Amino acid sequence: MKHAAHVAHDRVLAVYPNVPGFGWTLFEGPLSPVEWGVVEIKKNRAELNSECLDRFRVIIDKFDPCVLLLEQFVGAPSRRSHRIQSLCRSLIQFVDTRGIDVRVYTRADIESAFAPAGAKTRRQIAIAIAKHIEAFGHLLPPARKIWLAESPRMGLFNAAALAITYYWQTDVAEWP
Amino acid sequence: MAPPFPTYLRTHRRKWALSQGELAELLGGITADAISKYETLARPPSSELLIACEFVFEQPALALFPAMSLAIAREILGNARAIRGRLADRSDAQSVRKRLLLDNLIIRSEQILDL
Repeated sequence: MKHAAHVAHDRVLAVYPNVPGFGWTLFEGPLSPVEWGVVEIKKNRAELNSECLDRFRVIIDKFDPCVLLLEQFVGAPSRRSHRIQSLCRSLIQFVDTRGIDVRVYTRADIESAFAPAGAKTRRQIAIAIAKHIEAFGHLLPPARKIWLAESPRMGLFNAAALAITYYWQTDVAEWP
Repeated sequence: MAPPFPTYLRTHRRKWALSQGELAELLGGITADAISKYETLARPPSSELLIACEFVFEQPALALFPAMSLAIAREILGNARAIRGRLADRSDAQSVRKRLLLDNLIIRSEQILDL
């Protein structure tokens, strides 16, 4: 992929809500993450969405992105819970008040972006991201055991996959 | 297009999995709290810190501290234009040589500043 210099680029925020909270990445160009994080809400789980929305507002205020990227959260083949569907709607409603564009990608969109890298499953996509984005290489969680819950850090990789899909679809990126 | 962030020190530190304390220890003579201040530009970086960060991360100042670098480029551009203007009518070898540097510098500065 082409590397972008830190001059002036669309600031793209990708968010992937999951059970503990959400993973997020902020990119300024293909393979150029600027900031990233995993939000885990450990207290006040009853108000999980409200807590997530508060943390999301802080990120928006701090980084002022142009575009918010989400993964498809309603309709087949998506199987996101009602809580996550509701959270995604709240995120969209919030960014709408800030004039931030929203793009929602399907799994098929993401798989298409990662097909040239030979990655299809979430794990394979995470490995491809870790390989191509230096900043994330050390953050790849170990392969999940079937009896264990998914690592919250996978939210970060799922969000990064959305950002790469965005650049792939806007024709800015190319796999090496 | 959004303007670049004032500093990307935090991005480069995290890219290499360094804590603020570890970077402070690596650079020497500063604290984790000072790194935090440099990352938010609550404290402007000294020239020593700039050189040390360039060396550690193998990144130019423009990539680490764009706001500061662009401000310096803007000032140099103004100075270069003024000197270039004074040399415009001279044809001696030294002035021709200086104009070569200044013309190149002006072009580079304008590109960096997106003018």
